[in-house]
Amino acid sequence: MSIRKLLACVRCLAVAGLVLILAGAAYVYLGLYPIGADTPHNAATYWLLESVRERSVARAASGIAVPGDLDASARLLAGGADYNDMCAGCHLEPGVKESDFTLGLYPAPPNLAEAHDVHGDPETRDQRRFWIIKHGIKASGMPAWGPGHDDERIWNMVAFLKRLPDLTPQQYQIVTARKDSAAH
Amino acid sequence: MQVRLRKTGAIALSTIPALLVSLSVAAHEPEKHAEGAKAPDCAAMKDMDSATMDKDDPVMQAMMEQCKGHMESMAHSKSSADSGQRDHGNEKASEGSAHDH
Ligand code: HEC
Repeated sequence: MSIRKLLACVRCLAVAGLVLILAGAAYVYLGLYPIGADTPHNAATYWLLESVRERSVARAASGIAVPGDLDASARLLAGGADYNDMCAGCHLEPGVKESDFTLGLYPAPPNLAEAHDVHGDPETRDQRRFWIIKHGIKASGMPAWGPGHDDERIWNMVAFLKRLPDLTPQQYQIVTARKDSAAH
Repeated sequence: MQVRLRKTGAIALSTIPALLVSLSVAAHEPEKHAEGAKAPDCAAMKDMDSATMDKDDPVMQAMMEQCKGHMESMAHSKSSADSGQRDHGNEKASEGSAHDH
């Protein structure tokens, strides 16, 4: 390829790039992007967001040390009460199939009371859940709970999530109820 | 070749602003507020299948912890009807008086 041909090619690409940047800016500023939560992503955007999320969480969560006593009943009680107060509206509970949040949020909060395909081995799953609960997920309804809750409280919820799919509605009610201190 | 590049670029350049726009939308969903704390519904424990109750299971332990007082009174009032409950209740039954809280 001659120098001249190469130059022409580079110039042409630069022009094309500029046009595309302008087109992108126009797309944004003309308000063409469908921002409504009731318009699903197209396949490419969905893949991109999901990959960004999963790769980011996997990298950030990989070094987290998982406590050895996640099966302690005290953790279930503490985590269960918190889950019921703070999470069940979005992530449901045994016997409840949908809420305004599961119907309306996009991405929809997964039903954590249902057994679903595990992400890797149990340790990876616990690390992943701890990280997501602590830090939340941008541009989804999932808040970061770290600012208001210490790590132990978050681990208690991770512990509870491990058993949540096994619980019947009655068991869930008993385990998650907050006993008033007078009952002690 | 240029045409093909332009197409790829077009996809990238329309996806990236879309991504940026979608990432910048802060979601402030009002949380469902906890309804006034409910007491554990310990009466339901008597309906549970005692065969599936394993005292070494942390879930079972957690439920017994939640229903300590109830199990005592249940051992007195329902003992003949439900032998599974009696096991748990009897540990405390010797303390006597079934105090309802
Ligand atoms: C306002 C709704 C909302 C509340 C409240 C909420 N979450 Fe979420 N949560 C979400 C959404 C939406 C996602 C999915 C985010 C995504 O796919 O990008 C999510 C994702 C998660 C995940 C990852 C699930 C998976 O396997 O992919 C976990 C774990 C989780 N939440 C736990 C919790 C816990 C624990 C609480 C309570 C402390 C909580 N969430 C409260 C909306 C909520």
